[in-house]
Amino acid sequence: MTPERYQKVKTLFEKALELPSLHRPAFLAQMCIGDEELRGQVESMLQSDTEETTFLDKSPVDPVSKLFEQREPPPPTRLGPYEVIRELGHGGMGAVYLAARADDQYRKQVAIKVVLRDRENANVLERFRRERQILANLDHPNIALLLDGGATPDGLPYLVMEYVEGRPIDEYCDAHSLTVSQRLELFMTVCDAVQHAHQNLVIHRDLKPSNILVKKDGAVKLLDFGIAKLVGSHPQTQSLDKTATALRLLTPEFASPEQVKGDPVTTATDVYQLGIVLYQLLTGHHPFAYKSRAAILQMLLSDEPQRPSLATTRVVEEDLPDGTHVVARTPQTISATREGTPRKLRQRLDGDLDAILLMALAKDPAKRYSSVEQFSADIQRHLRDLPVHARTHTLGYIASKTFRRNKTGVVAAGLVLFTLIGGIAMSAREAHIARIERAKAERRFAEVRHVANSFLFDVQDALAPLAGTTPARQLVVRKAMEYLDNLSKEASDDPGLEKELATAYQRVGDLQGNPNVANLGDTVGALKNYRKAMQIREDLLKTFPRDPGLRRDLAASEEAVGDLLLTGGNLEGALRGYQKSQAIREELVKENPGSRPLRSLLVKSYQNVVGLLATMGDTRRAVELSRGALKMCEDMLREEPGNPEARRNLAVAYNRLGFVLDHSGDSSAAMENYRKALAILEKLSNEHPDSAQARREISLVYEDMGAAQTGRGEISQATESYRKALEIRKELAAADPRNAQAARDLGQVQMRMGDMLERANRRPAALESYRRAMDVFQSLAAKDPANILARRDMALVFERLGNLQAGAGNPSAALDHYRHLEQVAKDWAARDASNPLATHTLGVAYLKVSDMLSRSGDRAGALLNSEAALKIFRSLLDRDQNNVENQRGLAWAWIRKGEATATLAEADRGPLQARIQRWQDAGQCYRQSLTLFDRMAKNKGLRPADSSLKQSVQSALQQAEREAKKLREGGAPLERADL
Amino acid sequence: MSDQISKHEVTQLLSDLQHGRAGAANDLLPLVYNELRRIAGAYMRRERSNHTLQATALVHEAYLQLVDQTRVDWKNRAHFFGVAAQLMRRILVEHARAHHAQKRGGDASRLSLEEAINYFPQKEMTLVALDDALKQLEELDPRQSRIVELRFFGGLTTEEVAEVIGVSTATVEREWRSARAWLHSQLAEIK
Repeated sequence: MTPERYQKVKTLFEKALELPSLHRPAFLAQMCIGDEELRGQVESMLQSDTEETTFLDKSPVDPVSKLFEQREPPPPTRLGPYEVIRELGHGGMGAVYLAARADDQYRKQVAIKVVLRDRENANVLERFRRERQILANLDHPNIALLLDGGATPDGLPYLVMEYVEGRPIDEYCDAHSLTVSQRLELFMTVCDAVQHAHQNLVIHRDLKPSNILVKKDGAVKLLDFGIAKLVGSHPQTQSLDKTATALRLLTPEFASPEQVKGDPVTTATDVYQLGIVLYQLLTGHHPFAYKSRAAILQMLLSDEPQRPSLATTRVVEEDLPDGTHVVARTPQTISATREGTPRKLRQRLDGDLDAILLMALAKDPAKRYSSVEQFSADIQRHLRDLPVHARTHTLGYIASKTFRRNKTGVVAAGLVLFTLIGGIAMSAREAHIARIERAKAERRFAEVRHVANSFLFDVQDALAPLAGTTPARQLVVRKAMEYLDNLSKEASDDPGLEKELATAYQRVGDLQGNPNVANLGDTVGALKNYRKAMQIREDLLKTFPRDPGLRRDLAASEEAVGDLLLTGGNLEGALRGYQKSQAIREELVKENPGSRPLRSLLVKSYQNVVGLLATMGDTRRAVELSRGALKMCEDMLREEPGNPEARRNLAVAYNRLGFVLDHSGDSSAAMENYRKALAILEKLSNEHPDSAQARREISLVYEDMGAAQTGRGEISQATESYRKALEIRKELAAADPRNAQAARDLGQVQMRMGDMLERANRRPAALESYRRAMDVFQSLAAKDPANILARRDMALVFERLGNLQAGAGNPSAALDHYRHLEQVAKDWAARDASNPLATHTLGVAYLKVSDMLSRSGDRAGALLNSEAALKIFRSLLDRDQNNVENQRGLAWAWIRKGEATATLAEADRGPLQARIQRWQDAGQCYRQSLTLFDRMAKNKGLRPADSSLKQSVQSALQQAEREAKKLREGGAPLERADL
Repeated sequence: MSDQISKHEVTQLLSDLQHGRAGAANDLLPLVYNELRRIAGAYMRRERSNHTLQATALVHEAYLQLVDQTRVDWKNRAHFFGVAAQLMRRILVEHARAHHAQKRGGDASRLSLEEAINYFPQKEMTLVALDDALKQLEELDPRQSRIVELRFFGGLTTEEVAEVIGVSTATVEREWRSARAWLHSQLAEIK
């Protein structure tokens, strides 16, 4: 079955399910004409679906959620000098406990608020600190008093507050059947408390009945300044995520439009929230007749609140947990606790109170009461039967005033009014249409955003492990790019989206070319997208210069660019990327010297730069930097002595320093560092005998040690080191036979051991090691057709085997290995078509075969293979113009072709003109290769070996020119200069 | 592994995962797996005669070791078990295979992660067959296969599955129904 076929089956199945079972056979018969198999499949699925519960519904594992039910952290029994009596309630970030001072003989009860969750989150702690500061400044009989504060020995911050034994204001009013007027009086006390807070520059932002308690004696207490804000604290000082956090903390039923939109919060926000509280106290309902909590936020932006007097006619049903509905509130139940009958209540609210509430609930903060005091004063006027301000703002009031004041001008006024109303109606309609359009556009936007993300993440992840999906993956990336580019045009003032876009571009870059994961081999495209991600992040940093998350991401982008350029052979570019990433991380560490993850990232940067400097031959700086990384690892360990991760990192740093020292020529210092690394790792491994990782690290050090010893000519010691590495790898591979990585590790060490033996001129032993390595890689490749690495490893060993035989003077045996190399490379390239490394390897194989053929006298074969190599390296270079490795490959192809052509020219006894032409062709080939050397030099990619090769090519070129000239002048051919 | 740094890292990765960074799952997997191995090894060394350790309990212990409880909500938790579901599946299926092989006279002295777990042995071959069928489904409809993995092997509720893969609960329910029907029809064929 194919995925497309399955989708068809699935769709039919789902459609059939929607039909009564009697109609299904006819439906299927109609839909599956001529495709009995399809019908059979859907029928058998429908058959299976009839069983209510099957074994698939009985998971063999316990439901995860059940596991956690009993595991909530137990409440603390003591907080500082206070003994906890019981929990009063808990919310998002913490809990409130009832407690009493243990040493207080009167045992006065207090409420203690504790941060339980998220306590390492700076925002939470900041909020907690702010609440304490705010409460300390508020001294009002209707605001719960702050008594004390502190932190437990394990760092839990807590606030001790006056314990208010009371009920939420709405419950209290209903329980005491307060009349509308009584409710208004009580509410005005609440306003006093809020006004006091405003006078102290504090906005509560979370006013709701559960935060307004009424004690038995009728005293009101305002609680919970947890998300309160100081007036005038500047929004710019908030980092990117704060608005989202604030939104998350909102109670939807009591949120104001400006809070939902993320606009500035002012005292008018508290007016709005008080308006909702009063609305509910008077009508028993929410201003918006919402169906679900999720709908509230939308409604409060787009709908007008219902007139309070009309809201009293609502009938509210509630869903009980068992799925049944009950009628929770009716006009009768609501009015029973207020004015007696629905009609009386409606009349009581109609007019003044409607106007007062609608004014408090205006969407535009500027149209609300300008202060809580004024809100309260208008209620006061209503209670004293004075005209209220809220009503003077209505159209009808203006109209009636106009009418009464100037009867003669009524026609003109009527006209004005008509125009005015017309204008309002028009703009309301336009606004409505605009709103619909905007909602549509926003929905579309969200969809596109979702599609782009799912292309980049889900779809790619699903395709990547499947063989032969490269073209599909390329298409998906291309499509995602189109979406992204469109999105980015609209993202200019949406930092959240821009951040997301940067992540997406980074991801596209990874998919196209990150050398550390499966990729599409499009390094040029990858670089472009990494740069886009970088550009966005840099722009965002202009607006949020200190945002640590952005800077961390930017450092990661620079690092990715470094990795990419490094594989392309652009060492200087790579170094620049790594160094930029290093600089950003250094700055981050300086600001936050205690952060271990940041320092670990910085160490990673150091190690990247170190490795590169060592390769570029700047061993002095490499050693210096490597010592810096080492010191950092030492510091981290000192802070947390015994921490296994820190010890491991230190060992890796020693290993790395040893490696750099070895490159700098100081192999005895290198050995010393390797020994230090080993000492740490051995100890770790003894303490954690299960840890395969520690064992593996040990074997890696032994491998490096072996290389250093080989360099010192200590072959028997080197053999011993490799043997130790080998032993560990064997043991690891045996412990986990299904682990392909462990098997590969074993093959790798055998290959390196072979390299060492080859250098020591112990060819038979080297051959044996290579053969063992080959066995490992071959069986890995056979087991898993998708295992690309195994094919690459095989290629490496075949090349070594060939080189070994060629060096021993056995061109035919070498040719055999190189032909195998060619086969493996073809197989690899076929499975991993877009991977430039595979194609590159095939090119190398042709070059080697060409060389062997020419040595064994097959001149035509040599020419043919050199041309095959030429074709490959040309196409590679077309894809990635500045890639030094490709330039070197093409240069070699020209040299081989030149050589093969020269050999043919030498042997040619045909017409003079043809022989001259051959020498000229050979010279042309050499010239081509020389231009490539120049290009490599321009890209700073020339190695010492390249320079001496270049000299040989130059003399071969002179030779060819001399031969051609001699033939033209009729002279005898000279001996050809050998390369 | 159970030190604060790793806890911080794992907790951070969970948060990354919840915010949609796909690579986070890959970073998380080895950490979880290593911890599972360590715990299972510790259980074996304690030489309990009756080690009826449930796979979920094992993963749960790993969770407690790896995650900073004070800094996660149910969504983070769902993502953790979402990652662990792959491992749970592997553990359960390997165990079923190993147990089956043992009964046929396989090597009983081998000490491994799989043997530290004892769950419902009578169903073991059904489980192996289910695993095979799931692999097929993975090729046909990766999302459906993942949903089954999360629900059946991961012990997640519909809401948790929806959170982990970022779709609505209605979608999860719909896909689950047809995946279930398809898997049954496949398993019926095998029998």
